[in-house]
Amino acid sequence: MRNIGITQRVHFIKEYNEYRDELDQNWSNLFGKIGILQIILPNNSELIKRGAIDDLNLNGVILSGGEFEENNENNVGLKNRNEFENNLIRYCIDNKIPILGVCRGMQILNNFFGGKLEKIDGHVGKYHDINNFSKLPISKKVNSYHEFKLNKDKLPENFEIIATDLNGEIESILDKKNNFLGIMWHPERNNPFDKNDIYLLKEFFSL
Amino acid sequence: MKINEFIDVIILGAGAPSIGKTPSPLKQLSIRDSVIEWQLDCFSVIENLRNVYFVGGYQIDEIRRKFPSLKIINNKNWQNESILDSFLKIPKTDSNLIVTYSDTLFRKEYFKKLSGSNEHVTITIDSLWKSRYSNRSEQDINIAEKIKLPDGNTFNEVEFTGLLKLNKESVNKILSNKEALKGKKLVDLIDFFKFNKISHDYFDVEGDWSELNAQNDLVKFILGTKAESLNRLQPMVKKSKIGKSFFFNINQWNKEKKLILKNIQENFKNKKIVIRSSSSYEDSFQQSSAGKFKSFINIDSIDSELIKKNVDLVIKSYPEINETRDKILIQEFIDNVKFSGVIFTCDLVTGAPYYKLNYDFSGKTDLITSGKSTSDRNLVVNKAQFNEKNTPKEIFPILDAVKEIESLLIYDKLDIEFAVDKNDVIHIFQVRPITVDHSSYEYNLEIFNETIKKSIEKYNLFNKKFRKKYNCNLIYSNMPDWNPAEIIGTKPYPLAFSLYEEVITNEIWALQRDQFGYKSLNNKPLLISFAGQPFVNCGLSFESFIPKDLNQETSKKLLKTYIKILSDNKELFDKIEFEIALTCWVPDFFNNAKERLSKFDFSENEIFEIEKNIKKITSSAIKNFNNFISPIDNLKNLMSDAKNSKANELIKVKKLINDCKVNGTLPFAHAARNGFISTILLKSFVEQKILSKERYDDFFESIRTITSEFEHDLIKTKSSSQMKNIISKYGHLRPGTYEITSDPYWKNPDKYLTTSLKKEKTEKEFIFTEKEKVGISKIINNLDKSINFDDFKKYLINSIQERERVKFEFTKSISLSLDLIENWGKKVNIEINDIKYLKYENLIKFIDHGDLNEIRKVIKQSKENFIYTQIINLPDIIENEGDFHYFEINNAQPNFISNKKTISNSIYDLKNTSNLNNKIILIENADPGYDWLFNKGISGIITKYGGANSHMAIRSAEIGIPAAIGVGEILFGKLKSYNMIELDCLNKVLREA
Repeated sequence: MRNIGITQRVHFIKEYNEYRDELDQNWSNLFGKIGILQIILPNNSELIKRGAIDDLNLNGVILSGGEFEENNENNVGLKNRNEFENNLIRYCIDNKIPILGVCRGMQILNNFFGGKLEKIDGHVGKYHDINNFSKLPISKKVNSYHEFKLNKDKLPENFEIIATDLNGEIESILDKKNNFLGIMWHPERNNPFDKNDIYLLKEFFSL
Repeated sequence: MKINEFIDVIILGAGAPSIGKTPSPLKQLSIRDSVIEWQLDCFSVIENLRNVYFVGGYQIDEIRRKFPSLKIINNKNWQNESILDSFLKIPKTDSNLIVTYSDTLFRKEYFKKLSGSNEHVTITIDSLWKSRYSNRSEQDINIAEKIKLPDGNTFNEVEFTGLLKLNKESVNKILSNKEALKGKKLVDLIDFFKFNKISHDYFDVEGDWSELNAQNDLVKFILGTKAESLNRLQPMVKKSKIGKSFFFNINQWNKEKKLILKNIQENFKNKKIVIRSSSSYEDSFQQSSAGKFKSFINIDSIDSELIKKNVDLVIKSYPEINETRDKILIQEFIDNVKFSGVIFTCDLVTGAPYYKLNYDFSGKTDLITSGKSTSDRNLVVNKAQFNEKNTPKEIFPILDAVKEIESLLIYDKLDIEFAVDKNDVIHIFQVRPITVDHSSYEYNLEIFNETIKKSIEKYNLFNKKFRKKYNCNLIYSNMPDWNPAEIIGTKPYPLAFSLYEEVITNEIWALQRDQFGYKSLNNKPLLISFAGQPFVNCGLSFESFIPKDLNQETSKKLLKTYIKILSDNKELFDKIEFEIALTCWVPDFFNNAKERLSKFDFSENEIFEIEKNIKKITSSAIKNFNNFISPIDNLKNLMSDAKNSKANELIKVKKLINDCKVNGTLPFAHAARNGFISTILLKSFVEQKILSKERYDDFFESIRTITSEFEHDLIKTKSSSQMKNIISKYGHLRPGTYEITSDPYWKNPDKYLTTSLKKEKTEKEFIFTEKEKVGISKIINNLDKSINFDDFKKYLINSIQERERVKFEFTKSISLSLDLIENWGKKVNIEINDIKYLKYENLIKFIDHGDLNEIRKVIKQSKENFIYTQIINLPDIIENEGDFHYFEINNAQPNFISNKKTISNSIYDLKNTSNLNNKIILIENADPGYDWLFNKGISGIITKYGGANSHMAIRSAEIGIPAAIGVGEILFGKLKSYNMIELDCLNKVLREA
């Protein structure tokens, strides 16, 4: 059994005045392609604090994409997601569970360890080339849907940069000790899926 | 006077001073002038002055050292000889002489007049001597040297001032009759002149001179009456403005109302005025009655009816009326006031050189004097180091103006009312002398300065090291952690201070933190002494609350952050374990920590790291509680071993104290920390809405501690044999655990070991409801799955009980040690009032060297040092060099205990009060030794010092009486003066009722 948990984005439904957790169906398609059932995690940190998460016997976690804003007290849904994911990261450190952070997931990994973000132009809805410095299977060309990049000068010490765009901006980071990987691109949004991304998921989570 | 005739002055100053130790000539009239400097300045007007001789004896070398230009005649036998004998020591002379005592002051002008006299002998007398100054005591009148002068058919009694002018013939006549005059007084010379038919006459100073033995006399001489001084100052001041003022006494008012009203209108045309009291009563008792009299502001000078009405009201407010001495003062009203207040130019109680400012920004000039201001500020400025650099910018011009007034008046103990208007003009309304007798705090300015300088050097030394490592300033405070202000007071005697250090703050404190899982700081003392006043090194304290296993980088960052939070929020100085340092895990730990730390660039991961480590400490505390407490059970046997051994007292003391550290104070330090954790966790259950506030209070009230046992035992005690048991069980307690002069209960059982309570409080059993159990279990499960609810409940109760019990037990060793030290003192003939000046280490060293002279030497030196401990003012928080020069007194927020409310009479003076039933008690320190108070049916407690977790806070909570702990200096001072106080803990209200 391979139990891979995945976190969800938050969507505020105005007409019902409620926050909903939701996940792009493309993720299910991608998991289906690999042949495993993903475990969808609700954005509620009580799950971790009360120990219920232990019952899931997670072997890996994906922090999915979405909107990222720190310390916004007004957006309750987002606040809950931040709190949940931060607790989840901590849980994974303590229980030696690997994490793949996708886009927002990479940003929150970075910030969790004290890193900072800054604005970047021209990375929304664009394909671009990247340099891969690692042996991991990473495509030469990736998609991008982000307005923020990682501040290189403030990158936490536990991370090494394993891929950049051609301007040298960070595209992927790896924490070898904790086995945390961050990627700025969205594997689920390529149609058809990029083979490299499937290899990457399989290799990273030992599927 | 003939040309070419010289005058020599003879100052007779061989004797010891009547008050204090400083020789009269060297007594300071102000920071800048001593008595002899005043005298020498006066002599400068004498024409043909040749030499000034000083006939000395007492501390002659000191006088010679400071005034090398004086011609000194040493009367070695001064202790056995009279003043006239001293005079007879002068050599034969070919000049005329002026002779004066060394402890009298005259005006310059008078010397001019005296030196011009052509009589053989001129004797200075005072005909107004009886009424020279107010409140001259009977005793002082009795001991004055009197002369009876014929006045028509009767005699008129006048005072002999000791000031004489003698021509050379009469001097030599005196010197050739030495044998006949031996042993006589100076005043006896008058009979000698009569007998020898030397012609003499009398000059009358009419009250315009002064002797040093009465402060009132001196002040009045230097300052003149208030009316005189303000009017005298008016044209001379350049740095401030003294407005027009207009005085009349009650007699004048009664007789010439119309004229006075007309005068007011003319003097203050088109202006608003202030009508103020200027009672003689107010001047002489200015300390206790300042502001008690009425004054009226903002009155139109043409509104005669209103003026009339208000003047009558002011007169009515005088307690007793002296028609000529009691006056009314009319001044111009200043209406564009920026801030206003009162400055004392010395410490009111000790007379030490400080400017003490109390001011507010309300724009109303009468709030401070009436004690009604609620938003006032209090500033203390060291006057000896006063300069622009060492003073807050907005205050400097005022103090500069005050300094000008001081130097114009040549007197520096003043009470000055001032206002600064919106154009930054400084207005002076009142200048009164401070007439409090400061003679028991006589100090030497050089040593005062030196003591402060040394403290600064000490601070800088430690701060330099700290800055190097953490790049921020080290903070010292007298309230955090092992709270010295609360336990031994801010100015403890050396024995109490050193004993507290020995048994707790030198090593034991750090050992406990280390064993508990916090950083190991062994061999680093927590306390430091600045001028004999104890301060906690906040850097060390904070560091000792950081978990041992937390990585170095985060630890360093955490310490810096704690220091920064304290520095930015000084009001938290007695709550650092609650509001600043993260020392114990609570359910909402992560969010609390994040809120506190996120501004300081802590990552989520670091906060998780901190939580993990604090969790570890908290759960291990709960699991290992008994292991760390159990050594206390050895103490009883060890104590009786020491008690029954044949060794001498001090060897017993040494053993008692050493045993007490390992088996007494160390377990106590553990128990106290655990009690703290329990309290914090219980509070968090209230925050999490698992426990209601009432249930929280009920829980504490249900816990039977040694103190509730005490209460129980006292109520049950009926027979004298029972009383014996009570004494042996509780007799060791003392108010002031470490203070040898504080009586243990066994010495005064009637006071401390009786109770006015008849019935015991009904005991309530506390049972957690199922819902509470579920809620608490969930939290504890989150902390550590291996702790179950019943174990945890046991821990809550035990830790709170054990804190009281262990304290009760270890204080037996301390109390017995103090008894033994007292017994040793009796044997070697040293009283406890001297022993209190020794340090513990002096006693231990004595075991080896056995040199009593050494001990006496230490006592003498320590007594002298202690004067400076008493008079030096330091802030509660020291965080840079400037704090030694000036500081603002903190308006600390009190810690309110319980939800209750009481309105009761208050009592401050416990010594002279027997009935405490239904009273609110005001005490300075929240020391455990005051536990006897709880048996007197008191209705509330207010302490000056003490934190939210202090002994008194806990005890009050347990017993369930309302308390305000640590109200701070300013509020405490106000509360002392109220008869009836409202203490409403729920609404955090504390005020005069």
